[in-house]
Amino acid sequence: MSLNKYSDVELVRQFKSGNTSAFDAIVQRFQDRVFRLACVWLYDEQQASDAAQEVFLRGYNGLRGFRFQSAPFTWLYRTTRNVCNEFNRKRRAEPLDYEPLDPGGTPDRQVADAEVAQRIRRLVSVLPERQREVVMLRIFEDLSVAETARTMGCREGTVKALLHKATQRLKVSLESLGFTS
Amino acid sequence: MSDEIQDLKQHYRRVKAPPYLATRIRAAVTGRSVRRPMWVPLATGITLVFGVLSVMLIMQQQATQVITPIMPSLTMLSRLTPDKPKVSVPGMTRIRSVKTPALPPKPNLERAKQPQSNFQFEEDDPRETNHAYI
Repeated sequence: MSLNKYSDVELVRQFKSGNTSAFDAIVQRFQDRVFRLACVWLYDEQQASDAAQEVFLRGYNGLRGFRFQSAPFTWLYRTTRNVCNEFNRKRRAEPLDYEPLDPGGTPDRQVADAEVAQRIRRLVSVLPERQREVVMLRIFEDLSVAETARTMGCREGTVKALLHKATQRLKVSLESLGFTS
Repeated sequence: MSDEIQDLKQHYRRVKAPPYLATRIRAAVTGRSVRRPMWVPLATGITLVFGVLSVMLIMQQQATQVITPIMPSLTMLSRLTPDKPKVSVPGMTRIRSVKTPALPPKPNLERAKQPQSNFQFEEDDPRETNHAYI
């Protein structure tokens, strides 16, 4: 049976039982989401690949002791946040300003991805940290309210309240930044 | 939700991890040793410390046994009978009754009328002392 048909929990169970191919499947399944989050959380998207690699390296050891008290993506998301915070601390994070990407020699797709990450970063930079998390998980990662609440470790009502405040602020931010559809 | 955010979301979901990322992760995982639990080095250190302390205690006990001889108890010491000397020792009565030789008589020396002195006093000149009786 192909590992791609397993659920997230089953994949982790397979990995815990010693199936190393299951870890490759976990990487394939979550690498895009982890990379996207790293692009937005990091002030330097050039480090997003390094951050994503570090997340999965920690997952290689950490998921062996996973107790299934939360979803596997919750564990990966929190690890991504921690790794990005460590990277930013090392880099001595600067205020969130627009950083023009040097396109010299960079493939077009990577340039486009970097620009998208920069736009999102500028957009959510006006939000407090908890509202930023809600926007990233609920809107951009398209998690449900329940999944967002579990990932953030709060109640569903809190997620809804944070989301309402965040969208109000985003409307003002979009107008001021001149975003157009 | 505003159109701008929807548009941004669609662009965001199209962002993909670079193709080399999975290869790098696999290579890093293969070369990396499994992290030991934190308690293993701690337990090893504690065991080593206890072992060294035990060896030192044993060595110290052996050293004290060599240096300090076994002391007999006072009960044992009281039961010991002293060895009598082979030479006969006279008693105190015999020692007191031993007569000592008589001392020689004291010399009958004439008492010196004048103190012995090598210093010769000069007689006073009457002219110096005559005025004193006036």
